[in-house]
Amino acid sequence: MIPAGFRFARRAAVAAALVIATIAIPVRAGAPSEHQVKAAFLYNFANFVQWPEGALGPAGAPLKVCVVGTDPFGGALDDAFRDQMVQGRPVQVARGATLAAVGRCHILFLSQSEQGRWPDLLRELGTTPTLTVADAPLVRQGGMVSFVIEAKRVRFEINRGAAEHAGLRISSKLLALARIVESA
Amino acid sequence: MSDFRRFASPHSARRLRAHIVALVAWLASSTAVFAQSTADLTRISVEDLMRLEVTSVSKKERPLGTSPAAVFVLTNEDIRRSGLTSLPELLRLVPGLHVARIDGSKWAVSARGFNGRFANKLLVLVDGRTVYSPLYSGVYWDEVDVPLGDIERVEVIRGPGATMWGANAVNGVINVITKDAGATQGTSLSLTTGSEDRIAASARYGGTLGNGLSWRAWGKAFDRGPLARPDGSAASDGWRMGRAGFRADYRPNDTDDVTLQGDLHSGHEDQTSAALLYSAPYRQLFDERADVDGRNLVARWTRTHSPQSETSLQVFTDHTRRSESLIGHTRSTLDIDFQHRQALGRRHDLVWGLGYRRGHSLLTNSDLVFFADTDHREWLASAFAEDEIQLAPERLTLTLGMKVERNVYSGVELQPNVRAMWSVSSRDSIWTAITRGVRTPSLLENGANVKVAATPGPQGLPAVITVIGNGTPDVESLWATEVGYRRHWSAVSLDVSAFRNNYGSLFSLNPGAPELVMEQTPFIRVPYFIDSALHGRAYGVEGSGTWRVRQGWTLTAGYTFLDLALTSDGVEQPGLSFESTEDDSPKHQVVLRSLTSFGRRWEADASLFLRSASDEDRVPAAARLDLRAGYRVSDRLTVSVAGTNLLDAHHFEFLSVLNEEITQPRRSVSLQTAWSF
Repeated sequence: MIPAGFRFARRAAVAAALVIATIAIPVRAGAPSEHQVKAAFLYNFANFVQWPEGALGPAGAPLKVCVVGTDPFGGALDDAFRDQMVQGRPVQVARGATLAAVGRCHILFLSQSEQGRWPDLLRELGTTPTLTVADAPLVRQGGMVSFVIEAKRVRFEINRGAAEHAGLRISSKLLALARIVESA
Repeated sequence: MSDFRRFASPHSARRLRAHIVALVAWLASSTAVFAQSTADLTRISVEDLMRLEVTSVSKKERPLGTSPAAVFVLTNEDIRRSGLTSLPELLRLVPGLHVARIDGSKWAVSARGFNGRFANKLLVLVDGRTVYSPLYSGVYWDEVDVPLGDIERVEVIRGPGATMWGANAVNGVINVITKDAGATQGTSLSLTTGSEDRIAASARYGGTLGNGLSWRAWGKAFDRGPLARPDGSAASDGWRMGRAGFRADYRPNDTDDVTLQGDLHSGHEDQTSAALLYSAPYRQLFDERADVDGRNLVARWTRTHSPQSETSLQVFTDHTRRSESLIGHTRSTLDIDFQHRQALGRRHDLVWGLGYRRGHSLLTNSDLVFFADTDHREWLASAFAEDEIQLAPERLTLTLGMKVERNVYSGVELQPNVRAMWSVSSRDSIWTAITRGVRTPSLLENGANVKVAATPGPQGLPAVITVIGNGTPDVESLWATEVGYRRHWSAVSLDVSAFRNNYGSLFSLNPGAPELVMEQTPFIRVPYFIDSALHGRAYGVEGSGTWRVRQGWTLTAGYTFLDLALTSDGVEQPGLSFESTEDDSPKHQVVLRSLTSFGRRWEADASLFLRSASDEDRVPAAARLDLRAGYRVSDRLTVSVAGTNLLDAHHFEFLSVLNEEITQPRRSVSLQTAWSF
């Protein structure tokens, strides 16, 4: 026989879960989430950046998009690149705690969870042709692209010098839409 | 007995699993909608993307460093660079905590006094799972472990924290938080060999399944050698433990966060215990092996409805078994916790929650410990609410909280909490708090009969000193007044707190009339009844500072001062108290650290620990030095050498009156290799 208390507790847990679920359901709907839109931006960046010769590997090799630290995108990043070809290449999404764990990346999203280590990570990257992107003012620390939220809309800042230093050419179309920032 | 088995049986595990599967399935069904819309978003132009309005539901981040409480955070980097290999040893780095090694597998850890093997005024959580034992309301530190590299941070809150954190948080809360599975991807292997850790190995693999699900699975095992006896010879207290676990984090969208994690462990611990004899020499040491094992499962679901509103539900089960000559104890715990945070207007931020915990203990009596009732159940129900009020936005915050807790032993307990914080400028802040904390009564106090010592008695009969717990008349409680100050300069930060604690109804021993007990060997029982006749006050100051001297060189310092004075209403026999007395934590403690890196490859780190004498000078003042040198061979491979207790061959850290032999930590050196790919 299961003790009555445990039975009660288990039932209470299920009831609580159901209650919360019903309260919670109406939340989803309406506008897309911030990170869905950011994932779509990353897809666009992949198309509007030109990597130096040889950086993308042999024809048909995948373009690699990585997240270092806690992934804030949920499934949105995988969804954005699923079954998509970028510059004639398939896209591979990788996640890891360190640069070593993800390996060589073409686009690298530095998670907010690693904000304390951004300067170290950027130093570690050196001049590797990797487009560095983050949610907060990474551009001021020598990174290339930062997302900012303004009036509930996603905008982005580009540090052109940092990108050029790594041999990346960002299309003029993207530059025209971005706010251009120089490293401190 | 059968009930107990049932609780832990596959039957109930299956049910729990069914609930979790249902939950995950429900969440998954709602992501399909999102999947489509993210793909759609990639088909519209950048200009249009920029025009899209988004829902931003970032969680309200409340950095612990800015809360109105005495807090200290140990980061993953602090842990890695200490060279230490066990969780209780790492706590030495935290200012305000007193950590002492009793023997190879036993530690005494406390904040603000009352330390002992059975230190009982601390709440310890591992990813939200409470790990204190209801047997004595304390923590078996040998049972608490996680892969140290997977720890994101260890938060230590000194002072009562029951309102937010839960039962037993009288003198502090230690909260071990492991990394999200998304942050531990790939393979990581580590191997340590040395004089104490003869061999310690750990392995972890992390992967993702797309759609926001990431996971890791890990295993670790060690064989630790013995500490030293006073004459320097090897004691008999080596131990071996194996542990394996997993964690899965599912984040299908911006609003939901589901975590499922669990681990299991099994180990053997050599120890030297004392048997009680009814004739001279009355006490005899013998070597034995304690067996410990356990398993647990935690499920947590957090939903961020908006930046103003968030709910979370956590359920865990925990099952542990411990068998040694003193006592055998098997226990099961089920815990359910719900919280809801809701901002009301611009000034109020309300958090409320409900909690329920149910435990079942099966005890095996021994020659020394006797429970009349060896099949024991207890429960605890609680409700809390806390409102953070912005009296002057960004400048002055007032927090009012109340927890109502009901336990089997003492009924309803109220634990109120008033805190205020004034941000004087962007660089410095002052906080103050008045709180009440209550210690959860333990099984030992409610029905145990413990033979502590035997001595020659009248008429050639042995006299056996026996502690008898019939339930304390009052529950231990504390009113604490605290004040703190924090300041940040560009390279220096400083954090100072001071407290005054008033304790009431503390555990005490009340002598009763000796009586003749006619057993196989007749003896005279000298009873001491567990009572609550002790009260007292403590005051202290804790400070810590960090100085970033230059890029790649950081110095940190911590200082703790403690003064504790207890008085008794009745007749107190301090020598018999197996609870701590006034003097078992040192008055002064200092920890100094230096972390240096040279270029990208080399690291050189040092920790110096100083403490004054304690236990009426029976534990002498001591200094301890740990050094570490690390070399990064490549991005994937790191090698380090660590030395601990370098200043002397071995030294004494603790005094106990219970049955175990106290041994001494030795100088030890270890080589660690970490490989990740």
